[in-house]
Amino acid sequence: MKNTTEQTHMEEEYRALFDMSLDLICVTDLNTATFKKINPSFTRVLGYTEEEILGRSFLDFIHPDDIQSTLDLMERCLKDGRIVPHFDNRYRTKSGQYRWLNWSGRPSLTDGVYYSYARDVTERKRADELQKALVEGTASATGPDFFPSFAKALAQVFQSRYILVCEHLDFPATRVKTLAFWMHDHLAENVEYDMAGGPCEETALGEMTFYPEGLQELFPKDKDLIELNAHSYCGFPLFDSSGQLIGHLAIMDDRPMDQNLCDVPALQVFVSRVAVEMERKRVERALRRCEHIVSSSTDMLALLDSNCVYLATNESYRKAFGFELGEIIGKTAAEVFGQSFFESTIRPAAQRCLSGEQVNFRGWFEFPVYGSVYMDISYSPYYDRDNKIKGYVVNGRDITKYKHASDQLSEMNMALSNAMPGIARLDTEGRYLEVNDYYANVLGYKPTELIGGGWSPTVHPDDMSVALQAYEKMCGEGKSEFETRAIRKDGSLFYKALLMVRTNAPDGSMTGHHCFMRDITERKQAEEEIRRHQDKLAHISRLSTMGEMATGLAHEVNQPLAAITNYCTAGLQILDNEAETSSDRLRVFFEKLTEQSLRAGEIIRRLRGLVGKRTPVRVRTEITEPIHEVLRLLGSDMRQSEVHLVLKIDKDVPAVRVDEVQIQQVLVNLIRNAMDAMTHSECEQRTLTVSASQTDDDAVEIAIGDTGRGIPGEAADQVFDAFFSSKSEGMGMGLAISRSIIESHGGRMWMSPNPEQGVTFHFTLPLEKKGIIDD
Amino acid sequence: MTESKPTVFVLDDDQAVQDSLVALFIGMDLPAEFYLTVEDFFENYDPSRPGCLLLDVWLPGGGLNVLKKLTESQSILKVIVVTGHGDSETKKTALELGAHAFFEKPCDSNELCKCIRQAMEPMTKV
Repeated sequence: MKNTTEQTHMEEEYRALFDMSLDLICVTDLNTATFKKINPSFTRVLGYTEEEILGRSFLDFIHPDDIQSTLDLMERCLKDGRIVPHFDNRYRTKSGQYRWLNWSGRPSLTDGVYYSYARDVTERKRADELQKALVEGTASATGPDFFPSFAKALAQVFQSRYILVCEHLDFPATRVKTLAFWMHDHLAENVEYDMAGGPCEETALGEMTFYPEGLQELFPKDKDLIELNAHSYCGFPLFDSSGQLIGHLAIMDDRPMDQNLCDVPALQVFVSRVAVEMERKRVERALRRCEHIVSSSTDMLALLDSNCVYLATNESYRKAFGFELGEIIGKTAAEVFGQSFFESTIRPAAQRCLSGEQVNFRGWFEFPVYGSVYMDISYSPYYDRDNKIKGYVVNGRDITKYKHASDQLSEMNMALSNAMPGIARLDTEGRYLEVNDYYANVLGYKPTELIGGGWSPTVHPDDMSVALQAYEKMCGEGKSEFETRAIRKDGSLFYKALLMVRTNAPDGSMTGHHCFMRDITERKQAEEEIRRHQDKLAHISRLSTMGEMATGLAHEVNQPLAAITNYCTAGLQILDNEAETSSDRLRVFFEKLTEQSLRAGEIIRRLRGLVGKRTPVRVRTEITEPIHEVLRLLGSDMRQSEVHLVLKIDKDVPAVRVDEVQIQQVLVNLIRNAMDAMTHSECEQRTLTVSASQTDDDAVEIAIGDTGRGIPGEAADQVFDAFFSSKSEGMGMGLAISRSIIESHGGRMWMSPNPEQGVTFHFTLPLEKKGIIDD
Repeated sequence: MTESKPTVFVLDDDQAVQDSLVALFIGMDLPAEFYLTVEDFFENYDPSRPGCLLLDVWLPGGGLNVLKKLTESQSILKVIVVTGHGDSETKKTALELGAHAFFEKPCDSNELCKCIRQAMEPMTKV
């Protein structure tokens, strides 16, 4: 009884375990292979009712591919009487899908039954299979082959009807293109479609989307779903490495979808892989497009590193320098262009660029293949991912045509703005081909009288060399402008301004030139008038200066005269006193007499030179000459004023081409101003510094410095104005005239305060140009 | 003091003028001493020595300042002012400051010598 009770108790316990187990437990008949008993998990996992299973052969449920292996295993177990080792096969569920079951069991020959239990390992198997299928199916596939391989592998693993790998065509995405489209059992043609109203639209918002059933009811507008007979949908968004949504993966089925499908971890991994592949595809496509842009560009493009070594070039660049691809990469710019061009042009631009600046320049360059080309060149810094400059990109564009057009335009503008109404066209021999009425009229001819003849009779013979120089310049540089005296038919003179522009054949050879002409006689006469006024004013100013200098000069002249008188008297004294007559001493006195007379004469000559009315003449002059001349004139004034003179005249100061008297006038003016500044102030040290030196820019600079009271700021701006004077006497014209004299010589005059005391007036005079003959 | 022979002291910064005066005074038998600068004169002239000073106006330091200084120190020197620019203003100032005579350069050398002798005559008699 007790045994029976215990047995009953145990049976109850087993029954409870049997009912509650999550694993599938069954008892099958060894002979008929039919299910005799199953637990609730069996019906739950496979979706059938107990009645639908009991009495049926398990072979009805096993996947056809697994039947043989299942039978083989069972036979072996029966023979050996062993426990079934862990063994996997697939059972069809009621919905028609298969689930993987991992079996363990034991035959009981005495009872003629087989006790088995199984665990649902579908998820694991799927993951493994997915892994395997995907790895095998896609390992060797990259690029465009990857997506079909992936779609196929995925379809097989999940037994899905539709797999779509979609790339978004716009952003935010509304339209997609499939990179792979698995339909039923094959890869279909890729399609493009709008996502509006369909489930993909939701995935394209960036969230995983899962509709295990009832898809068509949810998306009634999407007619494709009806056509495909799609009832379930699972979508995974695909992001690139920067987090941007670039596409999505859609799985659809004509059956309800397994809840666990989207949780398979391996799937997540492969979704990521698809995203990576898609990004790579996009990058490669972008690269290919860039490459295409770069290689097909007619601009010359090159990438160089920070040491000016070529990293990449496009075809236009290589073609321009006659290089093959392999010949230039790795070379330095110095090797390609030569050291001197590198140092003078490339390196300075590259250095600026490598410090972050975009460098642009234009100019003519000689190319081994194309010859002379006007290039627009830009250097742009090349940044790496960390925003550090790793090199620079050179972009060179041939803008020769543009340059020619723009030159022509600016020439035309120049001609228009100068209103050169006279127009003539000449051939290469300088003969008139066409002239307009104005051109001929100004010269006093009829147009027909000029045509066929040369231009040289219209130019003043004295100006012929200037005209020929301008002609040569036009032949060489394309255009030139000059002003010259011209001769009319009747022999009378006038001034004309000319612009000559070379005319070219399409091949660039010269076919002659255009000559634009304007009568500028009136302007020349006005200029002449102004110059005459200036000279007159300068003369008045000199007279005024002389008046102010009269005292000093009178003393200077009278000293030698006094000496002469003394000598004369002494000489006469000797002659009166016969006894003391000595011819030797007499000779000495009369020598002195002569000397002093000369001295007086010299002073008067200088005076006349400075005051006398004269025509300005510019000649080659050593600048020390007017300086010493003026210092001699003012020497006595300086001694009287107790002004200490410091001369700083550089050796070998080159000659200048000046009107010496006018320069003396300027010097007298500046030195007297300096002396006035010092004598009017109670300064202890009265030092006048006169210096002359050559400046860098082909000019001589003369400076007159004083140690006077200086010039206050507001007055400093006015010192060069006419009628500005700090002195009660004087016209206030000195500095204004001095400056106009210097400027008429092509120099500049300015004032600067001295660091310690006083001011310095500076002026420059351009160096005498070589090859100019004295007037 | 009485032993000193009256002398013509010349203060003129022009060497040529001085040279000519040397020739003149030798010919005229006038003892003379020459100074080129104001400083030179005040440093080396012994105030006890009699004579006359031939003074140029137009020299650094100013000839009239020398005259003023000598007058103020009651010098025994008779000062004859000679100047290259004989405007009446300068002459008036010089005479007011106690100049013995005033000459404009160039002047008649004989007249000048006569004036010197007259100036020094009282001194020779002492």
